This record gives sequence, structure tokens and C-alpha cells, in this order.
Amino acid sequence: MSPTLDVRVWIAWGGVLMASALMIRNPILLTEILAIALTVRVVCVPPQRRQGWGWFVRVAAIMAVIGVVFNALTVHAGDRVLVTLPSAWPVIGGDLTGNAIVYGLVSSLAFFTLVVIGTTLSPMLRWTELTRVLPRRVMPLAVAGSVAWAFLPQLGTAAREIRETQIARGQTAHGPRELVSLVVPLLGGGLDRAMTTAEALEARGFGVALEGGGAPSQPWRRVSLLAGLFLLLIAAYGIAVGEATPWGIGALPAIVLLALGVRGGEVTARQTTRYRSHRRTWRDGVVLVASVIAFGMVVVRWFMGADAFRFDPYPSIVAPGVDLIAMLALALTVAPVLVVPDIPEERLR
Amino acid sequence: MRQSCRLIITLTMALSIMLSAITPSAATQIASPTAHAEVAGLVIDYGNGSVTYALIPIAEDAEISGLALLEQSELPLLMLDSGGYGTAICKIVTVGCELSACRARLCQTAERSSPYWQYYQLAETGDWKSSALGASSSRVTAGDVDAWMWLGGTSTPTDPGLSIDEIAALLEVDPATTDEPVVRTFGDLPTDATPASTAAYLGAGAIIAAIVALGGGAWWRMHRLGAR
Repeated sequence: MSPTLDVRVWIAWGGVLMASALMIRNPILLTEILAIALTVRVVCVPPQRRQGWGWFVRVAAIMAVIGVVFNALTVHAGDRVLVTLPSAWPVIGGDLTGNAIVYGLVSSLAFFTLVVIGTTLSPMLRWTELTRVLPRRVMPLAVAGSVAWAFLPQLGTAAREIRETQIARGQTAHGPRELVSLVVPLLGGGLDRAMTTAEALEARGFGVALEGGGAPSQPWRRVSLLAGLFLLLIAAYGIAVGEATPWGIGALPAIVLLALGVRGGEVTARQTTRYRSHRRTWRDGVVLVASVIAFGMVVVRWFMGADAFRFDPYPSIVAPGVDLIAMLALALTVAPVLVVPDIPEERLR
Repeated sequence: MRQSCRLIITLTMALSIMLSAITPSAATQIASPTAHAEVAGLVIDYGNGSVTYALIPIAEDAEISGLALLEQSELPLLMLDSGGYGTAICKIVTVGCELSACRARLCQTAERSSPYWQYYQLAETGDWKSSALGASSSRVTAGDVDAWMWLGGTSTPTDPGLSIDEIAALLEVDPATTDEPVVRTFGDLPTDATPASTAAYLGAGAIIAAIVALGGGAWWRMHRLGAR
């Protein structure tokens, strides 16, 4: 892990990879993104920070396998018929095709890649640092998000501890009904942690009214916020009904307006501590520039011809296309691997 | 009196039978060229100027669905079973949409003018008529002609309907002696994503291998230097 890399740089890196994985359905490009995420995970995330996230990846792997089986059983399309189940069987009756298995594999690859990116990014983020760099207006949201996100690995750790304790007492799970003995203490422990965290936050003054009131003081900021939210809502509707490209571009001014509304007028950075300071280094610049160039190139190539980014195995399986320029551009996001190991050990602490 | 009535009725019936034999009805006029054919016609308009014509043999008294007729053309199809709503056609050969878009809106986007596969049948007037029933419920017998057109929701077919004989002329076959499906496509179909060259695949593999090697090298170096 590189605490010396700015938290915003890590977010930009993760955002670029996640956005690319969402845009792309080509298995070759998805494999490259997965390789990048796994490489950064192995090299940059210390093993102690990976603890508590492994179960997330394992669950994702199981869900991916279930997705492939579900797709194969329920989609009876394609020219590579493997087996034909009696049509009288509800839902699964019909042809089981190789096309459906390939489609399921590609979808599961995309899903698994997103989870690996998320679980690589999360241990790299220092939430305290993140809340310091965010605008004051979104502070409560950031605190709530950081608390919720931090609970995920704790949940996994608690589940493992409860199970080990039960095994030590001679209890073994013999079916779904035995899960009650796991879920009840897990829920109780979760509520207990939530109460402790809430009290700790209250003791530190979170939740008190912001200086100068909660609402934006200048009228233009209020208008900007409302306009931004309105445009974002329209863009979300457009994307939801399948008009991704024009509405996606339309979302950009919405984001700018929102940023102006949230951030506008804050001329001085808010300082919450004198004991920890962060200096941006050339490493931040390298990773940020590499991520921005990679995403820019992917977007440009996508607009020039999205065929190489798609893969549709129906009705016939055709080998996926290859866009070497996009692949080389995406390869730039492996930059953290190049800069992080050079950081001296004392700076890793 | 009774005898004269019988005579008038008999004469009237005989006259009507003779007239019907001499003056064919409008329906017979359309069907007459195909009355001998034991084939059904199929026209697939891909919307880019390319058209597939097909003659599919059907037993004289048999009745099949429009979907079965399309399937018998043996063209690559992507279909979606929509339960009680029948079967949707998502893609014919390379024209259409992916399964997810087909499941959502039968390939249409939010624009009403965006295309999807529309199903038509040859009407008695000789024009294409949008089928009231879906292809899985419609009935096709020998002599009928079905059409599939990749058309926008606000568009209607511009070309006139084609009879079996006209399709046979285009295919240069005799419908009376056709005992196997005859399918021919005129014009170039849009191609799927073109498979890349072997060199491109090797390049892609090299890029992925380089990323993995880079990670492996960095990991090995860190362990060797005891960076952790």
C-alpha cells in the first residue's frame, strides 16, 4: 500500500478501471483489466490489509459460477446446441447452448473484475484522509459511507470468529437451519459495533450543524445544485432507457454544476489536524496522468468504433475483436505497480 | 307449380356454379398463380438494401407457424422466448440486437423511430400487411408469403408485396418442383465485429503477459529486498 499516494489518485485509478470494465464486454479487454487489478492487488496491497476482503472475492467467484449456470439453463438461444432438455420442463426446458455458456462466462468475468477492482481499491483508501479532502457539504455522506464500507471486512472477520468459536465448542453446521446460530450473534455484534461507532462519532462532534448553516449561502450555489441534480436525473433516465451516449455526455455539465454547487465558494482548505500532513509527490502525478490518459484513449477509441469493445456470442460465436491501442492505453493503469515498490519501507508506515 | 319452383332453383344454382367458375373472385385472383405451389415464400429485408428471398416447401394441407417458416430457412437466428407472449426475433443473421436489449424493448431504443424486426404477411391486395398475430401464433400454408423487415417503429414497408411466382423468378427456380428450401441473399449484410488477425491476438496476449510479468517481477523484487 502506498499511503504516500494521494487518496484522490487512488479513487481516480479505481474509477478509470471500473468505468472501463462497465463499458467493455470484450473478454480480451476484460481479462487485461482483471490482470491489472490483480497485479496491483498483489504488489501494492500488504497482506494484512487484504484480510477481511478475501471472502468478498470468494463470494463473487461463487456468484460468477452461478451466473454462468443460470444463463446456460434459462437462455435457449444460439447455434451451438449442446443438450436439449424436454420443452415441458418450465423455464429450463429447451436447448442448452454453448453460446449461452460463453455469454454467461463473459458477464461473470465483468462482474468478478469489478469486485476485484473494488476490493483492491478499498484497502488502499484511508477514509480519514478522504473525509479531510472532501468538501464540507458532503462530509456527512462521506462519514456514513466510510463507516458502512469499513463494516464489510469487519463483518467477514466477525463471521469467521463466530464460526471458529462454535467449532471449538463442538457445534457443526448441518444445514440451513443451523445458520440461525451464526446469523443471530452476527447481527447482535453488528448492532453493537454500530452503537459504539455512533457514540464515538457523537463524542467527536459529528452531526452538529455546520458553521454558517447547512444550506448554501449564495443563491447561485443553490440554483447550481438544483440544476445539476435535475440534469443528472434526466441523464440517469436516458441511460436507463438505453440512450447511453447522448445522455451520458449530457451528464457532464450536470456533474460540473453539482461540483460548483457543492464546492463553489470554498476558497480555503479545511484543516482538521496539525499532526498528519500529506505531500503530493511525483508518484501521484504519474498514476493520475496515466489513469487520465488511459481513460481518455478508451473513450476516444470507443467513439471511433465500439465494435472491438463489444462481444455478442448470439446467434453465432465469433472470435472477439482486438483493439491494441485501447489495450496499450489501459496498460498504463498498471502504473501503481511501477511506483509503489520503490517507496522506502519507512514511508510505507 | 312445385315443379316450376324446383326448376327455377336448379337453374339458379347451376347458373351460379357456372358463373363462379368463369369469374374468379378477388382472392382467387391473387392466389391463382400459386394455387399449384406447395411452397411458402419468405422475404427478409435487412434495412440496408440487402434482402433474402426464400421458398420453403410445405405439404399441401399442412399449416405451420410463421416462426417455423423462418426457422426452416436455416438462417442464423437469435430468438427470445417470452412465455405467453410468444417468441421474439432479436437478430436475423447479423442484423438485430443483443439479448439484453431484445429482452428490454425488442431491440428498440427510447426513439420510436428506432428499428426492430417487424413481421408482415402478404395481403389479398398484394401489399404487405402487419400481422395481427405474432410469428409463433400465425398460420402459414402453401402459397402464403411472410416478410420480416428491420424497420423503425414509425416506418411502413415501401416495397410492394411479392407473390410466390415473383420470388421464384428472383430465385430462378420452379416452385412446383421445389422440394428443399431455396434461400438466396441479394446485397451485402452488415458483418459482426471482424475477427482480428493472428498477429493482433498475439499482441494482445503479449500485453497481458507483460502486465502479469511486471507484477510478478515487482512482487519478487519486493520480497527479495524485504520491503515488507
